[in-house]
Amino acid sequence: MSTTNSIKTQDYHAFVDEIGARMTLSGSLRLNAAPEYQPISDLMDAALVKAVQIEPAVLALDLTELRFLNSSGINLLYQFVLKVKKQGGVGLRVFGSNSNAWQPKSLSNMVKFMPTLELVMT
Amino acid sequence: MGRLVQIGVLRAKSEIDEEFYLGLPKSLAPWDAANHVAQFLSAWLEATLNQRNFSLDSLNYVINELMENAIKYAADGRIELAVCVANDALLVSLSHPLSTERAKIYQELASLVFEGDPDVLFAEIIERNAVSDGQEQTGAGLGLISLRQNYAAGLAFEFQFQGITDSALVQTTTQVSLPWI
Repeated sequence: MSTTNSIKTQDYHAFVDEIGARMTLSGSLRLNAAPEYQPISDLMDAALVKAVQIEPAVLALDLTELRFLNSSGINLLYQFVLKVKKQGGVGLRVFGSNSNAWQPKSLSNMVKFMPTLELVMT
Repeated sequence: MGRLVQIGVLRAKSEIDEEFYLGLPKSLAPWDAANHVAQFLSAWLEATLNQRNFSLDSLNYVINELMENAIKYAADGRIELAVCVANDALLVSLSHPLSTERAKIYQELASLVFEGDPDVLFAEIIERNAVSDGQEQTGAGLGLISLRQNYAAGLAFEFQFQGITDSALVQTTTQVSLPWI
């Protein structure tokens, strides 16, 4: 897949596709608090800006290959959900995998923060 | 002996069948140590506790969160991690010194997490962090809450105040119990 925005390290890969309709996080994210997560947060914000401009305005957040996420990363995800909700007019579809043990536990609360969010667990 | 403050009840040694112990100086604990210790202990316990059922991922998360907190906040000294086998749970205990100032913050947080509804606390912290532009304001808060909220973990804390001066260190123990599946 060609990407316009991507951050790749030994541990994780974060990227947004060309039109900004899908943001993918994969690997293992164990960064030290919000400052180290800022580049990923910026990438997510950029994806949201792009998603607003497409039709239908729905942003997919693909976490199916994200094997591990620490609590600072959980904060990052929930802050993004609140941003999308605050933005308004943009749908958010989160894809997770039950094979990653943290995901059914940690992602299920997202709907409480944004009732229109669609959580797709496979 | 200084003042001892307990929040919850740390499990007594007499209740514990087996114990794995690991200690390292704070000065030799870079950020990656949390990951390395969590991966090593999880793999080791998976290999040795084959007659018990526990979630490897849960144990990995618990150890990683406790170690991250210690690396971020512990004062210079030893970080001591013990994983213990009890009848009803796997116990993970982390001890390290804290500055008096940091110990007071952690003690307040521990009380909040121990007594409060984890779902309510989680929502409050996420909303509070949103107000401060996504920055985490409460240190270890979200990690501890997630242990209760998502992993059905029991928590207990002990603060051993060594002296009365503000510069004295407080030996702090956090114990997480993960029920056998």
